[in-house]
Formats: sequence, structure tokens, C-alpha cells
Amino acid sequence: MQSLIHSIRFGLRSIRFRLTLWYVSIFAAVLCTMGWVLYGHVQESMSRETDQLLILETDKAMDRVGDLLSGEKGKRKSTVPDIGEKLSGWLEKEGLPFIVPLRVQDADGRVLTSSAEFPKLLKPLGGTWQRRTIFRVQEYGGKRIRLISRPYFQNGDVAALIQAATPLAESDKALQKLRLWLLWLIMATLATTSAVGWILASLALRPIEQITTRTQQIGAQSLDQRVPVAKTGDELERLGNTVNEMLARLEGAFNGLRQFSSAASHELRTPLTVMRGELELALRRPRQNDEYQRVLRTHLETVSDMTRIVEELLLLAHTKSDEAIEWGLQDFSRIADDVIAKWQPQAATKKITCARHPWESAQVHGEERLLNRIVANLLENAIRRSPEGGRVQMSLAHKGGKISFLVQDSGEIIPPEAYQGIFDRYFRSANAGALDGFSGMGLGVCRWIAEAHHGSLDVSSSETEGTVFSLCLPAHTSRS
Amino acid sequence: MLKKILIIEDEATQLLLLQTRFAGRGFTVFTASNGEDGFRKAVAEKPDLILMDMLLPGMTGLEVCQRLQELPETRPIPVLLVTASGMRDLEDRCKQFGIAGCLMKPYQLSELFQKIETIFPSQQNSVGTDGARSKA
Repeated sequence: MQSLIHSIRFGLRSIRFRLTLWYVSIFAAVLCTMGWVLYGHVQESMSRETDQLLILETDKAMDRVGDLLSGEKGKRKSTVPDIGEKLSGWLEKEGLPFIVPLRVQDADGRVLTSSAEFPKLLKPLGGTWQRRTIFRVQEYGGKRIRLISRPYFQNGDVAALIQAATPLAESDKALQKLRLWLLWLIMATLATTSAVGWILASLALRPIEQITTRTQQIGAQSLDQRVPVAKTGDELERLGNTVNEMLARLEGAFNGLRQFSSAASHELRTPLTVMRGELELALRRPRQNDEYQRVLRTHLETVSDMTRIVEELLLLAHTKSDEAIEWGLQDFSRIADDVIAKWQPQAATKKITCARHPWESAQVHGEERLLNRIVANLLENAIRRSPEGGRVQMSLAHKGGKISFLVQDSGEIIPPEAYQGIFDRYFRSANAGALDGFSGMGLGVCRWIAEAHHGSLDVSSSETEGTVFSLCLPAHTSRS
Repeated sequence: MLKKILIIEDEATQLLLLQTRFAGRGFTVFTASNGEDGFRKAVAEKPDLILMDMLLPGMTGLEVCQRLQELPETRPIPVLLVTASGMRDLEDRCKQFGIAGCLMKPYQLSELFQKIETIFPSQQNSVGTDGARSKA
């Protein structure tokens, strides 16, 4: 019951219902206006015909009265009181020349002659009304009649009033028929247009229905689905495309989140498992202090690694756009110098030589924290990859409005098919020879930082040149 | 002669792939999809080698190793641990749990067999490296 009420409420609020209602209302208003105009026109025509008939019929009586009172056409001149009898004789003699019943009365209201059919109860007209030809409709015996009263003037005074009456039953019947006919026509037309309007609105809104149904089916696990879009070039195609674009953005964001969760799980669960196992092992029996210290030191390193992994994951998951960057003018050569100095001890433990040549001064626009991270990640990778006693060669050059920062290591060669993989956001070390040494998401972060700074990061690897990571960033010039 | 292998892996596809590869090389393969089941089968079957994922539902790979170390009959069984992490010094740190070696995902079958050879040098002919490069 509740769902039925809900369906009815929704049905009444639906665009389809409202569109149909508007359409039918406007159509009804137009039809009613047209019907009213038509009905008025027919009624007016019929009324005019009736009045013309009454005028024509009374014209004959007027002529007769005139003849009698003026004594023309060889007739003896009569006075008003005398014409009654003569007119009655005329009426009888002429038979029924009149389609309508007639009555003639004098100015005082006395009836001089009257057709038998003339409604007797109609009161004679009096007063000022006598001086004008008037038409009026009167009820008589439950029926409507149309009445005309025309004065006949003699020496400026009303000498007689000639009246005629005709029932309106026929015309009323015809008008009633017309009213009924118009009513049925309007109702049938409205019923048809309502049905047609409903169907048309349904057809026009069907794509919206499809979009709604499909959108209801799309959940977190099916964000790859899209709503159907008909190539109609209209608003509905735009709506469908807009919904699909939004779904694509949601899918991207959701996939990013899923990748983040997956990467976080992969990167953090193993160290946590190892740490837990080590702690359980260490606590299994009493140990010397130096043993505990060794375990704690190892764990401290692991925690540092995990902290960095979390930071990188957060940085990667944050956003792809450059909106996340706090822009400022940065001395890239100084930043790189600082990073190299920081990593020097790490390189020294592996007896790795870190060389800088050529080393030009370079300024860029960007965020110091991120530039620091990219240099540190590249250098750390190079140190990790290089064998003991190896060499890491760096160069910083400024040309053509760009700065080029190269880091070359003496580690194993990376096969070209692996170039793209090492930049994948959540790339994990494959432990497959040359790829070993890349930490977590380091290079994914580096490439994101480069691109967010409107630059690029690429790799090339060959037997002769070793492995070279090239960072290219737009340089700051005095004009920029 | 290396004949019996126990594979403990929670990912069904990976488990089927490894099972097929090892069975195709004449091994008797036992499988388990979680740590508890794996431990039970290790005790019951006493395999020559255990290939086990680090992250298993319920008992982790390291916990299984610790329990295997506690029993004299399972202690000598070499365990190869598979993990998706690029954690530093993982192999060294895992040795205290009685683990013979670590393998990082994604790995290739040839790498797996090479690793087995390093654990069982005398079994070179048994495990063989036929150049299978399909990704495991």
C-alpha cells in the first residue's frame, strides 16, 4: 500500500506527467477558446437570421398599416381605431402570408389585431420604448421567444406598434446540439492528445529512464559500466556523456583508492609480519642487552622504511594535478648539493664515488620539499643499484629554457621492456637482477613530481652508458 | 631424491599454476590454502620442500615456520618463502625463522627452480631448468 502511494506520488511529480499536463492544459485552453469563438459566431448568425426574418415580416404589416392610414393605393383613409378590423380582414384574406404571428396595437396599448398564434400573455409595450424598434427574448409557456416591436409614426407620433414573435426552440435546439458536439469533440481531442502526449513524453524521456536504471545498477564494484548514450546530439546525449564522464572520474578515483589500499597492504604487511615474528622470537627467552638492542635497531630501520612508504603512498594518492604544489622559486643546484651531501655517508659505506660534472647553477619554479624528494629518490636508487666500489655520475645542465639533471649508475642494465614498469605508481621490486634495488613506489613518486612541475623523467640503459635517469624541468629565467 | 613438495598459497590461481608445474616435473605435490592446514600437512606428509607465501590468512608464513621449527620431525624441512614486498634484508632476517630462502613476487618459474637448486644442489637433474619463462 505504501509503495502504491509512493508510486502515485512519484507519478504525479514526474516530468512525464507534468509535461503531459502542461501540453493537455494548453491544448484544452486553445480548443475551448476556439469552441467558444465558433459557438458565439454561430449563435450570432442564427440570431441575426431570426431578426432579419422578423424585420421582413413586420415590413409587410408596416406597409399595410401605412396604406390604411394614408389612404394610398386607392384605399380610403382610415383612422387608427378603424384599422384594426381592416387589418384583421387583411390577415384572414391573405391567409397566412406571415411565417410569424403578428400583433398590431395602438399607442395606448390597445390591441388592434392579432394572429391567433401570437402569445396573448405578452404585455403591450409602453412608454419611451414605443419610439424605438426593439428586440427582446422572453419566456413564454416555458419556451423562449424572440420578439420585435416596431413603431409606426404619423405626424411625428407613434400611431401604431407592429409586433412579431417567433419561437427560438429550433435555434436553441441547434445551439444545444452544437454545444454538445463541441463538448464531445473537445473531450475526445483532449483524451487523444493526453494519450499521445503521454506516449511522446515517455519516448522523449526513455533515455533518462535508461540512464536512471543503469545508474542504479552501478556500484563500487561495477564503476567500469557506463550509461547508454544515443547519438542524437541533443540535451539527453549531453546528459548521458556528462554522467559517463563523472563515472570515469569516480572510477579513476576509486581505482586510485583501491590501488592505494592494495599497495599499502603489500608494502606494509610483510615488514609488519617480520617485525612481529622477530619480536616474538626475541621475547621467547631472556636475552642479553646487546641482543635486544640489535633487534630494536633493526626495527627502527624497518619503521623508518615503513614511514617513508606511507609518505610516498599518501603523496601518490593525493592528486595528480599541480594544484597540490606550493609554487616558489627554487635553487635546484643548491637542493641537489644538499641531498648529495646527505647521502654521501651512505655512498661511502659501499665505497661508491659520487661525481658531479658538469654542474651548472639552475633555478626552477616548484616546491622545495618535492624537488628534494625527487633528487633523493634518484640518488638513493643509484647508490642501491651500484655495486660496491661503483660510481654514480650526476650532471646538471641549463639549456634551451630547461634544466637537465642526469643520474647515471653502474648497476645492472635494465631491459627496455621494463622501462615503463619501474615508473608504475605502485611498482614493487621484482628481485630480478637489474630491477632489484628500486624501493617501493620511489620512481612512481619521482615521475609524478616531474610531471606536476611540467617536466619529465625518463630512463635509458645500455652496456656503454650504464643506466641514466634524466629529469627535465622548465628553467626559471629572468623573464619567466 | 627431492620428490615431495608442499605448496601453501592462498591465491587459488597461483596455487593451481605451481601445482601443475611441479606435478609436470614428476613431483608429488601437496597443497594447502592457509597456514593451519599447511602446518598439518607438513607434519603428516613430511615433504622434502615447502613453498609458502609469507602472507596467509590466519597463521602467517613466519608463524608456520616457527611451529615447524618446534617439531624435531619438521625442523629439517627447507622452506622457501614467497613475498610481494621489496623489504630490505628480508632473506637475512628470515633465516632466524629457519627459512632456506626468499623469493619476491612477481617471479619467474625459472627463478624458482634456480632457487631450489641452490637449496638442493645435488638435485639439479630432478628440478631442472627447462627455460620456462612463464610468469608465476
